[in-house]
Amino acid sequence: MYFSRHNIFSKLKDSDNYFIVNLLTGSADILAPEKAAEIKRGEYSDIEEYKNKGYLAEEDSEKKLFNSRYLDFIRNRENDEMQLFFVPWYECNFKCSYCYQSEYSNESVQLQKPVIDAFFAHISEAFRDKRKYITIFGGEPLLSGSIQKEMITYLISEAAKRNIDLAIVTNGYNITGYSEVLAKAPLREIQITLDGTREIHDKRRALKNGGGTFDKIAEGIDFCLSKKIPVNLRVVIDSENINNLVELSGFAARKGWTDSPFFKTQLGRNYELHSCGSHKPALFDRAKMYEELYELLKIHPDILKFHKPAFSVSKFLSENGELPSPLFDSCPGCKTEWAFDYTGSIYPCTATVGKTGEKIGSFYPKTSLDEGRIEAWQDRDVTSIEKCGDCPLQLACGGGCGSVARNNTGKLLSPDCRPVDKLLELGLSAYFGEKI
Amino acid sequence: MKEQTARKTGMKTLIVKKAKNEKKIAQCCAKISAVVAGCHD
Repeated sequence: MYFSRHNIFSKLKDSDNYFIVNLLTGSADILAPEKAAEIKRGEYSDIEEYKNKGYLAEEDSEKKLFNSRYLDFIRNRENDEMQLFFVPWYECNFKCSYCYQSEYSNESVQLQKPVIDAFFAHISEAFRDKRKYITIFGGEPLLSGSIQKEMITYLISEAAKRNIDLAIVTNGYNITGYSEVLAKAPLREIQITLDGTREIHDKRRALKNGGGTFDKIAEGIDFCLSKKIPVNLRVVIDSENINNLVELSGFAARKGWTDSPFFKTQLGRNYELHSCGSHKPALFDRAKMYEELYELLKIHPDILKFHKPAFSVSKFLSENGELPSPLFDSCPGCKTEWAFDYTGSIYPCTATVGKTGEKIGSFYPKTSLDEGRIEAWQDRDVTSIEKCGDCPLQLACGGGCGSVARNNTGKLLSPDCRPVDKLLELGLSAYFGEKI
Repeated sequence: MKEQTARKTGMKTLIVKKAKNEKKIAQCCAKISAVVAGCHD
């Protein structure tokens, strides 16, 4: 009998109490200080309770449970829906201060209809028996040129013809210019990025000519919500704009966005993808971003109406009364996600699409797949990443992003670690504060 | 009862119900709810 290697045990923020969470067995408890002291000493009273919750385990039975949950995970993922990204071009009308694609040098050829036809032929064959949807990505997909508009219109109509849903990732500047096209599209969601209220946003996400973009984006969001098109508003956060969340959430409330059932938000971190994070003093690491958020929420709880941070599995636990299933792999590349671009190239995911050296195949002018490289992506999970093996956080972290991991270490089979314990210290305190 | 257990053992569960249907996976790259860069944050 030993202290499970999947126990996440730490002290809650702003409390004398501790917590223990075990994703493998689905147990989560708050511990009084004296109970935590017991665990630290390795002397357990109420052994039955520890055993029942899997906090104390027999090595063999824990291994069996791990294997069985792993098989469940793989089986469930087999039935997951595929997210297929299509990049019509990498051009963009913005010059965001933190763009990770700005260093890319891609072929300057125009997207042609035969490439779109080949894309649909390929996905119809390669993912024939899979549920799937397409996410139109870029660059900026909704550019104002007539040729670009014609291509996007064609892409949307071909998806609609095949009953394939769409999502669009856009900076939101030209939404109203595309209003007729979008109103007819089988859209699940439009992801739009707004980094703050006007002054802050425009400083970070200006047009190439330096012009402001906030007002047109806000107009685009109004349009989408009025047409019941779901908006997923992404706010990219760093130390320069985090405090503006107070004003932005107030703005969203006054616009009526937060009252709409078609409005949701996500906070993104400007992350260490490729070279974009390497020289940015404003960049948050994950723990720091959530620490700052936690402190901000204590003073301005109204932000929660705009966005409720996940704090790892804390939000899920508070909303569902149970833990999520163990996450053996958080990287969808070549598993439930693939990315295709206008040159006929195939990449593992959005983080790698368009990056030199990341191509894993082609769908135009003819189909070819680099099976060896695809297999390497498909093999990546917490069971194959050696460093995940002894980590108690592995089933909440899932090994992180493969692209970021390789960017940092040169190896795909290396982890992009999530500070799950730190996030739980904050999140369990934030969401269960009254109970502890 | 749980409160009594908590007082007695110093351990208070946060689990309040069992899954009726298939449990959701804690995908940080959870599909459409974080279309892009979700797997990075």
